[in-house]
Amino acid sequence: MIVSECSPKLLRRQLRRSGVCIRTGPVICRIQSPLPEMVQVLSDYYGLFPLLADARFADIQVQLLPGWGLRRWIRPQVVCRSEDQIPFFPQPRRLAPALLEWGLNWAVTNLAHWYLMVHGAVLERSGKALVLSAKAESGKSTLAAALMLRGWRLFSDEIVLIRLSDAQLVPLARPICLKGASIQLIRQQDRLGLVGPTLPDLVRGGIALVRPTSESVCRMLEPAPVGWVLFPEFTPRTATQWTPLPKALAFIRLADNSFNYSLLGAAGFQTLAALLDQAHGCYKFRYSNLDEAVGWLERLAHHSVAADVSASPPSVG
Amino acid sequence: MQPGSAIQWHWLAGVGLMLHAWEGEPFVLVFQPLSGDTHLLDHLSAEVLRLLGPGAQTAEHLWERLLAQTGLTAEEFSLDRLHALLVQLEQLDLIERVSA
Repeated sequence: MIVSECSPKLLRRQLRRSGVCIRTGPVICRIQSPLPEMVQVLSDYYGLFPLLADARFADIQVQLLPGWGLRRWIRPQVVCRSEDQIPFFPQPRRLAPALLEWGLNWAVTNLAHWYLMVHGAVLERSGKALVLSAKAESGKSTLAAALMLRGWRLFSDEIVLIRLSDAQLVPLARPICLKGASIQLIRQQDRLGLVGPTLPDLVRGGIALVRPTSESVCRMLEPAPVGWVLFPEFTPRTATQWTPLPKALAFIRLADNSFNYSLLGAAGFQTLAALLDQAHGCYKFRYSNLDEAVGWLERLAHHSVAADVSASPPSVG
Repeated sequence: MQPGSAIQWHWLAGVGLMLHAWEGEPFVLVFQPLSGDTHLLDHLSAEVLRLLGPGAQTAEHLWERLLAQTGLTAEEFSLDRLHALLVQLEQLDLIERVSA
């Protein structure tokens, strides 16, 4: 059964009681909340995800609770709780959908240590995965959303999951979180109606979640080998620029962006090295024009897959 | 440290260093499992580590092996430079010195 096949009444009851268990890639998430709007949130963003009605075990658990005291009624807030911790400050209640995503990300990065995890987005085309690894505000989620709308399969927009046994990339296929100006940019390209409503937020200039495509969800148990590793950087008013990066330097950058490289020790080193062994190429990638950047990435994928050439990416233009 | 001393060098005791490199690239990655640190070395430094290994040897012996292995001449890579390199690798907690 998938989430959208479950009646709102049953979903609400499950959310209030033992929680709703959803599979996102290899991770089983238990979501609990007494907030009535979470039924709609799950239907909107997780409608195609498998619902595990009788799951006794979940890898991660996230609770979304109403604010305490007066914050239940005056400028109501929502609190995220996971593993007996409250990892974020309470947020305005209208941000509950975004807080769910942040909470799930937090729980995955703190618990899923049977993977090497790197901060970044992953998409797949023609059997090869593109890793976009960067710190916040680098435009990776915008690029990820734009590529997904062009038919790339979404693995994740926040967490690169790398399997320790064979360095394959593993999908999570959860919604993409857009902020600020990128929302309108992506909404203009969204012919599938995947971009949700903009949640007003003064700090971040608004937040919108983008549902993964149905292909991304339906194939979320299919891993893929890495094809390319990019370190994107959104720089206003610059032409698209790419610079090939030695794999050893890419390794150091990925390790720096990793959530648990140090924790995994030798296994982390071996896994990251094995990942880069498989990569066609690694690049520093600076862009300001989204269409141009997406066009370059599409040509990169087409060129590498068609010719299986690693050292000569396509020219821009 | 004086050249010709009875000091020997080897990898940090009990540590199996892991080295990884990609063809055509100027860098070698070295993972030190005890500290969890990953280092980026040039090929010559990595070759010194490879030749050194866990078994102790003097700088002089190591130098001779290094020249034979790499084809460098004594003018191109002096024993003093090897001494300086060994001290740097020691500061990175990759190797240690022992008295013979």
